[in-house]
Amino acid sequence: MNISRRTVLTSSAALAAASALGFRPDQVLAAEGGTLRLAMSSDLGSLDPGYFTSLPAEIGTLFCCMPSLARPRQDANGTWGWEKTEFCEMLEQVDDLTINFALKPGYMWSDGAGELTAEDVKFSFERMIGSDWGGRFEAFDRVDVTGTHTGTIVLKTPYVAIWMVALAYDSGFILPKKAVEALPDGRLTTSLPAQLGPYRFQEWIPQQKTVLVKNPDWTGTPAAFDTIEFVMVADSKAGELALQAGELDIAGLLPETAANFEAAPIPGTSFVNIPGTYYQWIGLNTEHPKLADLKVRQAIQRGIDVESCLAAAYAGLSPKATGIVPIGILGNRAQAGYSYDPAAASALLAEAGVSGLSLTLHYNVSNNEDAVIAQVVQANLADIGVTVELMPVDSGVYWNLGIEANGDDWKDLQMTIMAFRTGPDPLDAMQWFPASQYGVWNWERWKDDEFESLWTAAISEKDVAKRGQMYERMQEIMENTGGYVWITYPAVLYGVSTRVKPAFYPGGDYRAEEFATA
Amino acid sequence: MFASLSDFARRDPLGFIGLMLVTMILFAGLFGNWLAPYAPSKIDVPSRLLAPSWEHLMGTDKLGRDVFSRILAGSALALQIGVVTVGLSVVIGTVLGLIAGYGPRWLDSILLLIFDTTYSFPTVILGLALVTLFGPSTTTLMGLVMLFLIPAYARLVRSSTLAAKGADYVLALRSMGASSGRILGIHILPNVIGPVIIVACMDVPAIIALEAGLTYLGLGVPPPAPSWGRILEEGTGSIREAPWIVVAGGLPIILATLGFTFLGESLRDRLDPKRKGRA
Repeated sequence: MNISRRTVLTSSAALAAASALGFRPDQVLAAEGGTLRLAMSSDLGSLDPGYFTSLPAEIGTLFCCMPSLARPRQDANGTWGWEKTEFCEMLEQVDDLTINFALKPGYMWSDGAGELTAEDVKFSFERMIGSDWGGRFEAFDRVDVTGTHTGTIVLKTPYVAIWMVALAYDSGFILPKKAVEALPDGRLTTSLPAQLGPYRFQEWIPQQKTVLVKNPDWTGTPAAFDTIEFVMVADSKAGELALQAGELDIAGLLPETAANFEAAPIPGTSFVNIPGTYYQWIGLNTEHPKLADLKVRQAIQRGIDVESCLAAAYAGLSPKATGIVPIGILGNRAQAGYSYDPAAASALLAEAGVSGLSLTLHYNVSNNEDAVIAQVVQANLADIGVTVELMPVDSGVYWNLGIEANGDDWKDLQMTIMAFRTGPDPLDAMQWFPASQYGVWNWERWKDDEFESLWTAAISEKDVAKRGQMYERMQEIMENTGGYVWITYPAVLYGVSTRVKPAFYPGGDYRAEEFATA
Repeated sequence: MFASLSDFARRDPLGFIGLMLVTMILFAGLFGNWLAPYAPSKIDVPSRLLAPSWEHLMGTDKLGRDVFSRILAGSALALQIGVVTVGLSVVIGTVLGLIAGYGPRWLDSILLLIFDTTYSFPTVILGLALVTLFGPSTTTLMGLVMLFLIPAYARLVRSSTLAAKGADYVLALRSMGASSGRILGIHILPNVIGPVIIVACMDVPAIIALEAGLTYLGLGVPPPAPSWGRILEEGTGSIREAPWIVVAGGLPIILATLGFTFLGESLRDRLDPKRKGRA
């Protein structure tokens, strides 16, 4: 195509005229209709459930294009549980070690890969055992195929968390056995050899977008959009501008921007605040000589104004944490056992006979919020006579500080700002604190017999309410060590176009297949 | 004095602007903490992100701290890192350069090897490595800067010293039995120091910018020190909601860069013998 100076001038004049007449980019995009555009901060890596990095674009694509037996669903109280999918006729835990399932007949894979069968289920789950995500399948033994569409999942040991940790979430996808076995090394990359879902994966343009289109052969619940695009937007400010321009239907927001959205939504957009599945706390090394006295640790728990930390770091949009199990997950506590009380903190220090205490606080420089929290903590503790030296550390170094096997830094650790992410089961959050994690990820360095007993018992406790109470008690034990100042479960904040109705998985990941037009 | 200043302003307006800006920054650096209306690190979360007003001339940041007070206090830190570090580097670099240029050939070769090896490291990468090893602090940052500046100044002085070493006046001094120390300190140094001062003046803003850059990456001076780079970094997250923080953090860096650069160029025009005729 030849572009002459005349062409450029003519086109520019046409564009200027269109602008003068009031046409806006979002109207042009709206005219396309049927395309849902979701902002993603990270690019697609792998679509293999056994080897992906669990990035939102990967999970989102798989939920749209691949079947599973169960998926997460919130109950009336907002607590996450699971439900069987439309691929299942029956799904039932018969006893501690046995789960029976029956697939609905007639669901056909794309690309001539045949019908969805129990053999596919067996293949998909058994290959997870030796995969990168094999830890989620530790209690899993095998799948016995009892018919074309029926089978039994057999566990080695009782493991009630298998539903939310493995089967009903991002490790529970069923793959087409024949098509995957035909792949050179039996692994998926950035394409799917056969698909079965309301949408089909069409293409991935690196660093730009992943495109899904409506599956014309789908006989289940109809897809709401002709096309779904996971658009790579690495900078959240750019995402916010694209949302305002109508180029995206949903984009993540930084806390300050979200606060403005909440106060005065921009026309055509709304604000959504989803409880996050990260949990953040300030850890105190209970074995460090300066922190060995429980009263000193309790003084620090009461000397930090968490509300101020949240206002400064998260614009007040993230909730105050009460433990390590986030809101919406079984075992979330109603409240912590202490509160900000500088007078009580000073009294505890006096009781301990401590004055002129100076401590270090390590934090990861990659997290902007951590630096803000650290400065509030420094100011708060100065008020009760504790001097805090801030120690910002590069991410790569930071995550090795407390691990005994990786050097001697753990000996000098005093206070740290920590944040882990959990799946929708409390076991996932709690797994980093039993005695086996002492010197590994339990940087607060404590062990407790009651905690160990509860940890073991909760793994096989089928009574949901009782199991929840066990996890609550375990958090209470953690808190009583004085090694934890709970900060927050950072909220996931979105700006959403009013033309779509969003849906989310635990932690705020897009549930793209359930997005609908408003 | 006014007559000479006005003459300076008329003949070299950019140099004059540079002098004024540098004077202003030096003044802020020396008296900033005293002039600041609020304690620069005093947190007041309920007053966070207030827009500029008579109460807070440059508004407040995420933690409710007065940005104007932090900028003033940040001047002292910028001067400490910029001027003090460059000054120390000039002294050490000059001494090493004189020794390398005037000393025996083997010593020159060893020193030259050390200068070139140190100088060949990429600044930011070495900075990141040092900060990772020793932790971020003003001392680490000053050490990093000196590690790069000393070889640069030493090389400059060495070249001039080598040229002066064979000059008639030096040969005459040697024949009269003058000691090496006397020749270097009294006769060669005054002839080689001019270009170093010019380069050093031009380096000050670069060092201030380097500090701002490393701090922006979270690897410079640790909080709550009111470094200009930190003010910039902290303001970036709320650039649309509170743009005054980024403007306030960026402005002194721009002014310092302009001031020292203008002044450096003016000095070059006056001190560089090759340019004297053109000035």
